[in-house]
Amino acid sequence: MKGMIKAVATHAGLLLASATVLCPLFIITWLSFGAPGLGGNLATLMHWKLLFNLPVTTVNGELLTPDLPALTWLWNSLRIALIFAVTATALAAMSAYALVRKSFIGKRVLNRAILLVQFLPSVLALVAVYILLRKVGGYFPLFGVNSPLGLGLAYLGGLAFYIWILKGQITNLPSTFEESARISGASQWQILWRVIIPLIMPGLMITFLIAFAMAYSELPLATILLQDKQSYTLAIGAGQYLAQQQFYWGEFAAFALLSSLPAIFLLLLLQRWLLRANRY
Amino acid sequence: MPQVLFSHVSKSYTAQARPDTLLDINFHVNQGESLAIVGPSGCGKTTLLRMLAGIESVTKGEISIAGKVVNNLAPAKRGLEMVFQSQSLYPHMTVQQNLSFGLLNKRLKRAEIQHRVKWAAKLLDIERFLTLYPHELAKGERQRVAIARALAPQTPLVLFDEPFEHLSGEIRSHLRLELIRIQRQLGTTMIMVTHDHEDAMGFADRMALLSQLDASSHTNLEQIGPPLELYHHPRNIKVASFVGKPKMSFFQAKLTDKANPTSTIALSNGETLSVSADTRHGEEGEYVTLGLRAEHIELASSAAAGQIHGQVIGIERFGSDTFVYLEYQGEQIAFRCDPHQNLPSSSQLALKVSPQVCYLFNHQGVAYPRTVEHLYT
Repeated sequence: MKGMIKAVATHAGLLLASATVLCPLFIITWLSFGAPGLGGNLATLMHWKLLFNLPVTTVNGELLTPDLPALTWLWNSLRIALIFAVTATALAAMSAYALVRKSFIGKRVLNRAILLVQFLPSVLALVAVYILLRKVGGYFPLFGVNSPLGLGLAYLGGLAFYIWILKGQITNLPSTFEESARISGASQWQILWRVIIPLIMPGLMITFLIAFAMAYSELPLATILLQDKQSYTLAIGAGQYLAQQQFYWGEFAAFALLSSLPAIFLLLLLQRWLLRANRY
Repeated sequence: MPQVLFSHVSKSYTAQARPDTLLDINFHVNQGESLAIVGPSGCGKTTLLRMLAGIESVTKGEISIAGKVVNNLAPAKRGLEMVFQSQSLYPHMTVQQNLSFGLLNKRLKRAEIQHRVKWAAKLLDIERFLTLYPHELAKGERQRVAIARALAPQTPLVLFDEPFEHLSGEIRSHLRLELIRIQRQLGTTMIMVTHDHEDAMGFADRMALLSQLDASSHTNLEQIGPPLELYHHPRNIKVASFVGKPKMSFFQAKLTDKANPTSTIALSNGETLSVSADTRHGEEGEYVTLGLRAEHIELASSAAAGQIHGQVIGIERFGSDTFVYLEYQGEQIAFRCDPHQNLPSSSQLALKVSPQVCYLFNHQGVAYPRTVEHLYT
């Protein structure tokens, strides 16, 4: 009897928690279909159509044309997030490896400073970053203001955090793997690619996901560095639906749902590596 | 020409003038020989091996392999392979891939690699594991794979860092026997680090004993020689107490007659003993240490005939041997008796020793030469 009460209570608690989490998702989905049932609204695909750049005729016979490049924003975000996540993971892996395994002058100081750097709020450096990138853009337009690569470059300022995550992974790796590889004649690159990388794959995946999620939805830096409407990311773009005289809740909700899909898809794709336990 | 030569090798991890880990190590290993490096934990034996492998730098002195100084040579160019104490098989590769990893680096032809992998797998009887991953194998099987991986490149020198450390009794002695067979068969020079004197004595042609470096010693290589030489003619107390099981029992005594070949000592209980040792360089009245091995102590026929009387603290019966542990003046004595012999039920036992079997050490712990003819020399 006592066990049954406990089981029921546990299930009730879990259901409540799930409901709390799923409730906003439900509301957003409901809104994206025109909030059917609210004040006599009917279910409509209008918001989704607008999102995909399709013209829509309302019940009053009014023709609506999409005026915000939602798909472009989504694509911009995806592109920046992927480029950044790949670059950040690769750079962080190499830096972390050097910081853990190689000996060089200033290593101890660097190891200690690495998190300290991360604690300086980067938002305060926004203006400096903007000016810097404008100067850089003068020489290399590809990395200037209004370019995804420039934004990615600015995001790399936060590399210390990813290095710190991977440092833990590499520290926990027994050094006998590398020593053994060195004795059997593997080069530095072979050791990194054939021994270290496969062994810290779960850590790399986590780093990749965190970096992706960060760049995918980052707002302050993107707002400052991307001024051209066509180069907006989804975080800035989403604001456009709400910032004008009227709040386009329906489009906003549809946009939110659409833009969360790639991230969820990526997570499902990488789950296999995340859940794989280290076997050494 | 010796295969491996250590010449005045020292190792320091700090910047002090006096090396803190290894000091003035000198020895050589001949081609085709098996050497065991033994010593208590922290004596630097693994460091010594890692220096030879090239994954640890040499502070002072020179290490040569096949006549060539290798101090600054990359590990891969030294012509050796190493089996590590802990897991070093790559967990993301199958046994087959593990075995071929080193061979691929050597840019051998495909057919040659396959041939060598097969050969090594056969040698260690792991052919049926080739498609499995290391985590699917038992500890002993994994260590077999590690040994096979080190043998596959067929380098003239193979190093072992406590290869049997994590294995249990039966698997351990089985693998040790196999390694001896393989060593004889291939004639490969093998150097093994172990803290287990049984592994060392069972495996090696010669044995080097290291001790923890202390402020007064000139080197921490205490002795090197065939295992039985270390057993019968230990240079000092450290060697004597490390080699042999159970541990040698020690008694404080006083040298009363310095002589050759038989000296006389007085135990603290007043008993005098004749000892077959050359103590001409000793001093009469000097405090000495008497060492006795478990197999050299006998039960006295009567209490009156006993030279040492001890209190029984424990008896181990193994069937083939019975070991009795006694306490004598605060020291522990171990002795072996005939397993068929009925032990007196009293807790006090009287023991006697014959003069030939005693070991004698001066007050600094240095052994006086034993003068027994028939003993191993």
